[in-house]
Amino acid sequence: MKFASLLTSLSLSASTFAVYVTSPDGTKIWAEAIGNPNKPAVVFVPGFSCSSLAFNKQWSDPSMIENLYMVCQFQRVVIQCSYLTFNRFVMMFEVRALVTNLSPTPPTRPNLSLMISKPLSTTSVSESKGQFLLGGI
Amino acid sequence: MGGVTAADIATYYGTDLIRGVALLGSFPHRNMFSEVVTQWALGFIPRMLDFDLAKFGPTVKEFVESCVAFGDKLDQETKYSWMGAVAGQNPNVRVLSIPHIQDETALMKARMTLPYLVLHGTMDKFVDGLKLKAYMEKNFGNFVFRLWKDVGHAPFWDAPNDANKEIISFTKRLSRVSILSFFFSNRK
Repeated sequence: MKFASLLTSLSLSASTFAVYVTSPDGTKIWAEAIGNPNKPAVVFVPGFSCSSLAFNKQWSDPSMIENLYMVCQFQRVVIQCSYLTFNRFVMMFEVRALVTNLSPTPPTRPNLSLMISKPLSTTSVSESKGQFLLGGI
Repeated sequence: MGGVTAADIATYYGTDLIRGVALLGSFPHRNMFSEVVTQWALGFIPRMLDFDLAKFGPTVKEFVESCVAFGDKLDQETKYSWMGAVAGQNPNVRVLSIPHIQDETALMKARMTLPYLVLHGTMDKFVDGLKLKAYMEKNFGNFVFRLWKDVGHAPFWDAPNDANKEIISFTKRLSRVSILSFFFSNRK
């Protein structure tokens, strides 16, 4: 199944789509997404030592699922994530890997309501015009 | 603390990557934490950073209960799932996650225009809502601030209906702004 098809089925079933994304330092990060990929993307960033479990009341709310594309990562070393290294740029790397792997396929015509308008390039993020909403505890 | 990630993204990728930021019991960047931290948190945080697992164990339960307004009423499933997530983190990461250095220069350059939604509770034991509001009014120019009674450090948990409505409303407002910006930027 192609990624775009997977996302489409995700929006219809409203079930969680989860993948491992890999940070540049090789750490595997558990990330999840739910909602409608054609709606604004919101990246949830858990606070200190917390996980996406904290957002259960957002991820189970039908109105949130209908109106948003919610993405969340587990912080490294929390539950499914591996532990290789840690540095002060860790969250930046993880958000980059997260958006790269979970953002929707670029629409065939401009959809300005999308906050991630295209997947971020892994080599030249600064050239991307894609944007996302960041929600943090 | 997840809200401070915006400062890292702004530093290394630019603020044009961020459409807006929602702070849910959080604060804009690490270096201003001392301006809004509560006295209770100042005494509690060192225990969260302790390598001694005998001391850290009881602290985990207290931490989870302190995240909501009425920790003693937190349901068991939620309490233990949150405790499991905290306890499962490697201590080497845990002790570095709070003290790590952050450069907020790039974020603060966009402070007057970057949209913020701030949802906060009067019972937040870590971040003083009134001090945070004063800081936002002094330093940021485009934000919506909600300070709710009987809500703690996790407003998305204590007041999910209100929080979810605010988040959806915020994203819709940003989408409309985006469409208008696109329209005006493409006029010949």
